[in-house]
Amino acid sequence: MKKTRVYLLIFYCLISACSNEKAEYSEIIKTVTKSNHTSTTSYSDIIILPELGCEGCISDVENFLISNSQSLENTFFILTRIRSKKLLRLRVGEDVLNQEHVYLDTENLFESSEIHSIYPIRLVLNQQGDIEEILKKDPSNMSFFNDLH
Amino acid sequence: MNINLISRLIICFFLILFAISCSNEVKNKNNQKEIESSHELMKVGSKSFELDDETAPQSNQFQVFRTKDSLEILTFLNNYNNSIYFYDFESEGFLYKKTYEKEGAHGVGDIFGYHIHNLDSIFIYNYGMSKLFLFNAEENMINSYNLNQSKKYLPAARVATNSPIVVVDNTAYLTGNIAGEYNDETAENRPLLIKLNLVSKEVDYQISYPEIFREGNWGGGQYRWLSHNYNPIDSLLFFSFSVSHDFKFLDLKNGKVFNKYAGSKYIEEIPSISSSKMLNSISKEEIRDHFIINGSYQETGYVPSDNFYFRTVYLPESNYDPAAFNGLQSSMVLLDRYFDVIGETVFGKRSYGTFVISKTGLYLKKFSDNEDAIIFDQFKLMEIEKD
Repeated sequence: MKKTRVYLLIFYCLISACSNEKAEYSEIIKTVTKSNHTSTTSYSDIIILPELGCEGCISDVENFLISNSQSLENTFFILTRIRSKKLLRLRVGEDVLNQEHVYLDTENLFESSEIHSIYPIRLVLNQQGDIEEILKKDPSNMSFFNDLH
Repeated sequence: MNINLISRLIICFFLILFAISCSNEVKNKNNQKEIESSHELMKVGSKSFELDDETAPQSNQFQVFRTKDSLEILTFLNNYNNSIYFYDFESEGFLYKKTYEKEGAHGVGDIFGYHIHNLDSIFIYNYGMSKLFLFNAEENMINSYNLNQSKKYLPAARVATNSPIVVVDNTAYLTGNIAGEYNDETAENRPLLIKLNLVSKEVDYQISYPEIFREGNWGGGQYRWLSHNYNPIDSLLFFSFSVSHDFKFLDLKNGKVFNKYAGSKYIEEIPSISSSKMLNSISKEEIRDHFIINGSYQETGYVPSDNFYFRTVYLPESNYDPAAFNGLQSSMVLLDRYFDVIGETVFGKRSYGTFVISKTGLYLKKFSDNEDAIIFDQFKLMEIEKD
């Protein structure tokens, strides 16, 4: 009986930590999409791409954005923790940054301890625009780009 | 209870005991922090270098070198276009840039760092290939050197302003490390200094982490970075480790290694991470937070014109809140030529980044929102006036 309670407690902690994270992401992405005159229901995925963090992981996602930005209508990109707008413009291209589904977070909205990540993050949304799943692009995640459109 | 179950329980018990025994937090106490300051750094001037459309002010590496005619040239690396930029340091005017091919007979890949020994000997470093290339004044590659390693935890050279390539006689000195925490680390199997003989092309190693690194878990990342520089007057290479209150010196005249205190009065102690090296259950974000909360020692240099050593300190952020974080407060510990701490100057948050050393003193690179110029403030060592 004691053992079951311990498991339940651990399970509860994991669930509540996860839902805090989702709630915090959810609040920010709703604000960001609104300020971009759109809403989370218009997209199937949101990718949060920091400029600083795991270099290899970031450049993978950055290259993906450069190559696919025209065709990815259902994916919203938020570029955050920007070290240099000038460098970002040079590297990613002005045309990519000017697209409607690409947003530059100059206020560092994703810095709180709950959601700060050195890795790019993919938020998979359901049809109501709520977060279904949170994926992290760390060096071991090979399926990060699967089914993006 | 059968024998199988008992043996499993015993194994589990020893595994847990082993994990706990490896997770002891160690604290590197600063025992000499009460030293009276006699000197401080004073801003005495400023320089601004205008940038082109392809250059942002952030660069891994800056170097001021002197030509045969005693002209001082500011150089820096632009990773975006694989180029080194040259400016007249005195007039602040742009001179030219040298662009290096990534592929082909003279290809060097992506440049990670460089060293201008003179205009006829420019070293280019590629991190991925672990290779050093030597170019002459005509921009021809005249030699290349493999830094491939044979040690268990190979030091991957990291070339930057705060860890430059130092060329003395026929040897190039570089430092680097490999990320991670390893239970079997020893003073021998994880060296940090690479000594490349430029004639024979042989590589040798020296200098390891201070003992405190082997006693605790330091997260394997930021705390494992090191910075080094060179005092050409006394032929001393010196090393700054992020958690050590001492400088480590290597005397190139006689090969002797010795330590000297170079701690900050604002750091009481730096604790290791209270998690086992073996389990390594702590996240990268938690390691970063630990690094910010507890402070650390960073880049270092020697200013021949004023005869002093400096060491940048990231001061502890005890009230750290990632959501409200707006940069680290820093200071500079100052030591005279005879290794005595003579002062510590504190800077505001987001005030200065890296540095260059000129015949006219120390220049610190200012943080600025202007992305079309690099601005340095000039500092001189001044005696503190006593009432």
